Amino acid sequence: MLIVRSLSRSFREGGRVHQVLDGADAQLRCGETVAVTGRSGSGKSTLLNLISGIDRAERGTVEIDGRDVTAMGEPARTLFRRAHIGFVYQFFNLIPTLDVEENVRLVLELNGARGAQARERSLAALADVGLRERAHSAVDQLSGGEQQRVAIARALVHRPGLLLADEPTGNLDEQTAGEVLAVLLSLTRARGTTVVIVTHDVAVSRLADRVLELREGRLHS
Amino acid sequence: MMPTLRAASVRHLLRHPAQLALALIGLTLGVGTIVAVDVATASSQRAFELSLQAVNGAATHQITGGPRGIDERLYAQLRTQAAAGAPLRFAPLVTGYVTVGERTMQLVGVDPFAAVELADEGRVGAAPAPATDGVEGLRRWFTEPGAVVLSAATAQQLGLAVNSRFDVTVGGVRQRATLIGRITDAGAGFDAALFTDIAQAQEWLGAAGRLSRIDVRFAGGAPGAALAWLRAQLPADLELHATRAQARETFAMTDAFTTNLKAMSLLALLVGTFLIYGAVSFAVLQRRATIAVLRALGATRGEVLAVVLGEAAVLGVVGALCGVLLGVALGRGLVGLVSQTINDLYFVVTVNEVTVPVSGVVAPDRRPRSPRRCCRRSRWPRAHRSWDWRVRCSKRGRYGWREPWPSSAHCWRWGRASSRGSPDGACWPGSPHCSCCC
Repeated sequence: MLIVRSLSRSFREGGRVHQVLDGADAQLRCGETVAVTGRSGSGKSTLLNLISGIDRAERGTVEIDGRDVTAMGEPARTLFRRAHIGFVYQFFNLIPTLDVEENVRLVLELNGARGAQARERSLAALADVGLRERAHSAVDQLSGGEQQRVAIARALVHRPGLLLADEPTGNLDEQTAGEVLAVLLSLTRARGTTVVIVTHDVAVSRLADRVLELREGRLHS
Repeated sequence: MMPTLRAASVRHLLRHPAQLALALIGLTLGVGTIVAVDVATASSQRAFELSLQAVNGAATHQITGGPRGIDERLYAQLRTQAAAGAPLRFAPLVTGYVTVGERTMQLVGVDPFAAVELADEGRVGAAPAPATDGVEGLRRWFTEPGAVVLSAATAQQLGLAVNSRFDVTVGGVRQRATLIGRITDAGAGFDAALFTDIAQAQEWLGAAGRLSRIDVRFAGGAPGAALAWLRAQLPADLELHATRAQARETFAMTDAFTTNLKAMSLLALLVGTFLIYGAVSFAVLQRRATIAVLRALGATRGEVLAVVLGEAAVLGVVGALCGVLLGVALGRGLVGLVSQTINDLYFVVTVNEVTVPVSGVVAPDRRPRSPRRCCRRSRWPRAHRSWDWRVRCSKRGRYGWREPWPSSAHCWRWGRASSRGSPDGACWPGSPHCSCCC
């Protein structure tokens, strides 16, 4: 379960203070998929950064499965993030010097898995997204859709309870976006993973269990 | 480090070969320069020590004068008076510089009888052995004008055979010399020396009736009393020094020169270090996006830092290894220039062999093993640098002190040393006062 309470964050631009989030509240059940929409600059990515503990809120709390992320120090947040949260980005953000399987295995190694066991699990994750045969390809040889599927495999390989996706289809054509989204949702629903998808895509919003709109720093149903 | 992070790091470096090469070249040149300078100066110092060892022989002390040297009558006076009881041996020396072809050498005028007597124990000090072998050798040494002796290696380098006549330039004046013998079993210390009879050296150097110095050795008895007696015999303008102290002071003249060389080589190392720093910083900047992804995936600051420092360490180790190899090679070339400068400015050294110091602090022990009066396995420590440290006795787990300039502690490695009876408290291999207890 994810609970966001009165979350606030502002940024200073020159002499001006820009209040991005101003008391945002939300509550997500386990296994629920929620789409967060809003205008550009409304603070959607900031919200994901605060939930994941990459950034720190000025006020408010983020609770994931009963643990208050905002109360943790930076090292604890990092360790919590690596074990319990998966990320999917608009621009895939795969590591170009690693091949497909290594990109997926990296998360397992960060979580302490090593050797053949880690390799088998990463290959299984690739098989889940239909890329088992491309395991040893360089990531820059894959199409956009394939790269995003690798990113999904990487985000889910360690079975996190929460998946945060920032415009996962924003860099894909309509057909590929549909395929990628289908893979993403089928895997997360099968595993009971809570998903927060930030998106502008109406098609994505339609597939979510619930849609929250971020407006004037607050989340509206 | 995690295998995937390590792979990512290595592949990033290999994907940017120019950047990698620049960093490695920078560090290689930096380390190479500092090693080359160290090799060259260590080799010159070693050559100087060998040269001193060859010329000084078994002398424990030296009597020296001002620029005009010593009146040779003092030598006669000391010998006759010492014969009355003081346990002292003396040998007169006349030294100067000569040029043979393009090569500057030290002219050493010796009295072979006095030199052998000074050496005692059959040890050859300043006395050139072949010239004193047999009556014919002695006849030529004393009677033939321009008779000289060289080490076999130097004679070969100069293309001289026995009985060859050749020119030597002394103080700008050309003189005719004849090679009457070669020292075949000499160490490298003899390579920069041209031996002749003391009278011949006085003639060539225009120093008739003058000596450059008188070597002294204590032949037994209480050194304190003998020293006091000897000092009382000396005129005010003459000084009595311990041989090693004199040698140390002489080589200390080159300190400014070697310090300058080291400062310049450190500058090169600094530039190399900045190149490494620049390369690693640039590599980090290039991978800002990757590092951000790693942090988002849950890599800690420490894990990211370990990747960056690991790269720097690998570059550093590879660059340093290449630098050491380059430095040894460069040092072989540089030693000629360094020794030439020392020859031109300070004193004559001829470097035939390169000494590679293990570090800037302790160079390998390449001194000859101690002769019989010291224990069989004892070695001389090479601790001639400017400070001193406690060093562990590797064989016995004991600790001993190594002196900035060797003293009785030279036997630290294998056992205890005793310098009882030594006039200056020093314990040298070959010294009659030295004994080591293994």
